[in-house]
Amino acid sequence: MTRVNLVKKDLINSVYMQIGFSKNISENLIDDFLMTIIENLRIEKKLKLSKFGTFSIRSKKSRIGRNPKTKERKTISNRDVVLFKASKEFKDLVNSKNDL
Amino acid sequence: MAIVKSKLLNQLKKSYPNFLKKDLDQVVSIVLNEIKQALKRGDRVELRGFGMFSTNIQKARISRNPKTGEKVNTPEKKTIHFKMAKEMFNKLNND
Repeated sequence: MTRVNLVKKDLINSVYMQIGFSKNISENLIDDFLMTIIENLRIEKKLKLSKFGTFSIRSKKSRIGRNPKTKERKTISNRDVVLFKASKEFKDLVNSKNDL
Repeated sequence: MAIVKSKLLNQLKKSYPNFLKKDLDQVVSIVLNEIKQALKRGDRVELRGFGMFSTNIQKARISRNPKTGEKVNTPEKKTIHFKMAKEMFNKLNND
């Protein structure tokens, strides 16, 4: 089974081809965009991208976890995790059969 | 209030004062569009330092309307998942 991945390089290439920014600049722009998302998410806990989806933060409490192999007990400290909920348009697109 | 795309764009604009807002706008929409199209094709999207988007196939099943108890056929569909990268986790949890 071959698994195809879209990576940052592909995104850089698309920006380069479609807008004509140099690859260096394109990469910086994409990186900055992603970092801005993280930064805002950290502060505001919720971030919406229209037609794409919503990122939100859920705080998890600390709990006692176990290493299933060694049966060793450990506390997992409280942490923030990110949830992503795709928008309706996104879901519809992924599920549509025809090419848009 | 939640942050929306226009606010992100304004912040991005501040770091790139020499760029046209129109172009930054387009960069963002290209990025989001490429991610969408890749997931539509069934590919995974891996963005180092940010996270990974992937799809899963949910099999067709007979579900119920929870209100009426009536049986409903749910066709096979794809679900969208996002898993954040370690770097993102660390950024969110180290302060």
